[in-house]
Amino acid sequence: MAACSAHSRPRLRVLDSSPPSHAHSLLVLRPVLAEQPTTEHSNVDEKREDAHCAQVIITAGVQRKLLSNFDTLTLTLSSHTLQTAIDLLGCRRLSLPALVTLTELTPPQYNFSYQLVRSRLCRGMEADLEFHEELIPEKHHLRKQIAATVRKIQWSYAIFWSISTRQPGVLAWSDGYYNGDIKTRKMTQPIELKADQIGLQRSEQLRELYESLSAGDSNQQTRRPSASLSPEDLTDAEWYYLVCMTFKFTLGQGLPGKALANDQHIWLNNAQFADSKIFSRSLLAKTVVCIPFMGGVLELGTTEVILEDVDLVKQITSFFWELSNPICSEQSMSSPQLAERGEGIRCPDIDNGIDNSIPLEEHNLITDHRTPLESDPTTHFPFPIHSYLPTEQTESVKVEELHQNICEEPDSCSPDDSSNECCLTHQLEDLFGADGLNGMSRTHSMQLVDDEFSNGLLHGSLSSNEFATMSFVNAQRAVPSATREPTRHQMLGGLQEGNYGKHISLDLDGDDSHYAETVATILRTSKQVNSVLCFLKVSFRSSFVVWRRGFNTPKSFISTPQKLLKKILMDRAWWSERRRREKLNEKFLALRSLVPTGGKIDKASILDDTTQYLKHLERRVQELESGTAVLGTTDRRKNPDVAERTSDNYLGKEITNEWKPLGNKRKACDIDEGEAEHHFVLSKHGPVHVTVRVKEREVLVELRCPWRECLLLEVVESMSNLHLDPISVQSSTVDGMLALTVKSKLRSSNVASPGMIKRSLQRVISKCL
Amino acid sequence: MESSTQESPLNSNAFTFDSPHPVYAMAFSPSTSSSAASSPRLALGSFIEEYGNRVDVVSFDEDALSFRAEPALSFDHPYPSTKLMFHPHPHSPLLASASDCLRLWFLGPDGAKIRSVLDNSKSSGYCAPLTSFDWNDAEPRRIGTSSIDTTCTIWDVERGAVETQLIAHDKEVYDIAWGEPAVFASVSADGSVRIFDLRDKEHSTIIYESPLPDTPLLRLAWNKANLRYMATTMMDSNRVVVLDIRAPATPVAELQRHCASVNAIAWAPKAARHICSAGDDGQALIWELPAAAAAGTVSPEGIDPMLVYTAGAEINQLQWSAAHPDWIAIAFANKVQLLRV
Repeated sequence: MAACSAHSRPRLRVLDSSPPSHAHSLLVLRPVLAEQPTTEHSNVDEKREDAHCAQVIITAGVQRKLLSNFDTLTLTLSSHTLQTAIDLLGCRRLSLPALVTLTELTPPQYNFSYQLVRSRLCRGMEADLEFHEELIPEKHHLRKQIAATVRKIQWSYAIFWSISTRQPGVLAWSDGYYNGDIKTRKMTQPIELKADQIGLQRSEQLRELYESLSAGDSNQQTRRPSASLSPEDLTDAEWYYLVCMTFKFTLGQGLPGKALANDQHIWLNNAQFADSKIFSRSLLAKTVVCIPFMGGVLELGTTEVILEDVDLVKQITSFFWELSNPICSEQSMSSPQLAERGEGIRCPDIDNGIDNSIPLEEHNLITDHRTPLESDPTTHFPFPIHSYLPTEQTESVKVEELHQNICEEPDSCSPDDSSNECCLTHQLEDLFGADGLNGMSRTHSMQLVDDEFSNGLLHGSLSSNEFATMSFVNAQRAVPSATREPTRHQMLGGLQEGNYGKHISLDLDGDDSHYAETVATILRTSKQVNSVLCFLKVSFRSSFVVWRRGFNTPKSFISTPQKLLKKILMDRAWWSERRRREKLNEKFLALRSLVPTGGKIDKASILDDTTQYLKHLERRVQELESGTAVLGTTDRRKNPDVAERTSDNYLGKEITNEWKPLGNKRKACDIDEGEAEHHFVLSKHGPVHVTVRVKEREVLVELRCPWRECLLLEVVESMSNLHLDPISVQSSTVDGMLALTVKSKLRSSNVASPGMIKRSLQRVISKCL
Repeated sequence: MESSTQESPLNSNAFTFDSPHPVYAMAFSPSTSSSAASSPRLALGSFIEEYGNRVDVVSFDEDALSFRAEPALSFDHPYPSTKLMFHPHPHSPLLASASDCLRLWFLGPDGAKIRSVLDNSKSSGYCAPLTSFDWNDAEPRRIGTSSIDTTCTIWDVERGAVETQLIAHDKEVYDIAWGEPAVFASVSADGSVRIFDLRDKEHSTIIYESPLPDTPLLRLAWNKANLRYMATTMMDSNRVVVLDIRAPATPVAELQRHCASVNAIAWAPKAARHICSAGDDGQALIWELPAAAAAGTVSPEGIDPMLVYTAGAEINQLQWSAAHPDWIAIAFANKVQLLRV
């Protein structure tokens, strides 16, 4: 007791310490926030509010490895097999995991998921079948009882969970009755049936379908041999019902297990919002009641929200008992399990009846933790208990106390926990707001809280990212150590920190081999499964860790942001330079092909050769232009190319022509071209430049040549002869060189070509040189 | 070879390949049926700032947890490749690369051979470098390239001819992504995300413009699992902008937990709401987008990533294997790492 009071944060308690079954459902759907579907589902809009996106979570009998890597697992699943896994649970039919639309599934996935569904169903069957068979004598009667009960209260379904004979201590599907909406009615006989007969038939068909799906798993050929229903015919509620057949609960686990463990009924309201820790199948039914009796648990569910009504529970029980006389055998059958149950349960006083079902420890806790909050029980609760409506006042004393116990937590929490508390509280506030339950949840049954704790650990821990972050970072770190004990402890530590508090008795006994086995069993049917299998395996060794705020935040490693990306996309200096050089080389080669070279191919040589060649060409042009009269046709004949090119120049409107004049034309006449070239260059009289520019009717003549007497006059005269009217004349003589600029206008439309003007001037200059 | 697998000191589950060159372009092979029973396979493009570059092919052996270079399939590549992509069909031996032009390589048993050079710049004489391209997985005849000359070119790779060339943006086009067989989107230095439909080439739809005018958008990723969503990144920005094409103009989410600029993004190949981003802060972050109906309830501080991997150097490239969705590859400096999700 003292130990218990030392627990300052006893949020939740595990009443049952029996080892969790490894055989129970591998996959559990947890509804979280809604996502709108984009599909063509016609009923999607109606379900909009209820639409839950399903988060698929692997519980696999609470395999420690999975637990400790849980963050990773969620991710990988959601990134890879989310659709598949949701589909796998048939929930696509429930349309609540609306995030997954059928259109988004590729055919292989589809197929794959189908097989998984079947394998899962099959697994569920292993324990069920023999159990089912044993009950055959009573089966019919039992079902009738169930049917009568559920029909009487007009709820959607009833399931009787009873102890499996093969797996003592495990609650499995015994029988059920479906009383909800029916989508497709397939009549085997065209006989008009009474409503109850229809219901019974439907329930039977659903069971058949389940069995055929399961059987199909082991034998592909005889898949769906006899089922009169196919999966396509089911309503969402029916799918839910069908999926329920796959579940199993150990004592104290899950809503049914809890109810049985405490021998007390549990009324869960707003089950669709319930944390999956409490109710893992919270997909569709809004109200679920689990009533322990006859060594099993009768679960009733409806899609309506119905406040807890103890009278109704009593009514159901008594009504059932009235009908149940022939079921004595079952009772006796289950009694050994009842005895066994005592061992598995941590609280010794469980058998003391309803009033004493809360363990002593808890009373201690309650009394030890009275706080100011007690006076205001409507305060927000620090964890998601919002989903329970008040239980009856009769049982509420202890519940209230527990409640206060819970309420006080934010006050008594240790500093290192404060962040958790905050985020959870925050989360809860939202939830409260959403539920509009506010103060109503001040009383609740604590058994609910622990429902399906093993799943709940996972789900709870995932219920918010922040939470997962905080509680599992440590755990994950511990994994590589491969030491079982530390892992367990750390994990538990993390979990406790994370508010799920007193799961001290949580048994994490699963071992790796069993895990592998389980997964292998589940996934054995399909080739694609392999990928999932290794997918699961590798997730243990994920490279990633859970992100947390402020966690080891590195700044940029480089001063230039996006350095390489920018180089790729925009900073193409290296690129354009390279291209420029490449282009340059191409041009050089082109040039080289035009210029006679001495065989050298380096750029400098090419440029040298080109310069020489150009000079030569210029001289030739000048020579041809200025010396046509003197040289006659000789040059033209010798150098037709040059002549042509030169004349081409005169076609332009603006013409610049420069050349280095010949020095001694007589010599030039006598010598061959090579020599002439030489002499041109060495002309002692210096260079002669004549430039003629014609712009519309204005002619600009620039002239540079050795000075001589009367040259200026002669120049102007010759221009005048060509109908040019000098407007301005500038001249200067330096070092015996005349520089002359004459601006003139054309007098008539009889335009002299620039070439004519130039030639005429050259003649004048060379006349007396 | 230079290949060495070592366990990173930071994380024992990241597998490192040391390339002799800096690596930028990277592509996962879609093949799941290679001899080494579905081992991830990568093509890596070197980034050397000159003409001579390499493309190397390496496989990762999931049993031995080591890389194996495939020198026979490696080849010289003119200029650094800005992007590499395998043919979307797993059994095709083709690999495409972009640099100065688009090239298709045949990775056969005898090694890698160039199959075609797709260059539409012959007339102009100047080849505008390609910034990116995308292979249309629904219509593998089509490859769309984006260029700094403001155009996108759609190639018919079977004919080796241009199907169409669109002046897509006002400025350089930096990335392109296919959504449907005839629909692609592009981002540009002009700061816009535009969607084009080849059946109506006259029009394009601007679905997003960067908040500051003319802040270039650099990368674009279209969510293959849910075509409603695409994501883009900005120049010098730590944000990943997630867009819903049905609700233009306003991003559905802005992911801004990177501590430095984001360089690369990749959607989870088969999940509609998961995206990975990597940046100069050396982190690869995996995000889960809120479900659509809950989008309005995102806290003002924004969305936190789910998972983080810290590489220890700025991450330049990120690819998420479609064939092996549990593997993500990142490239930084001359290292390539495979990360388990």
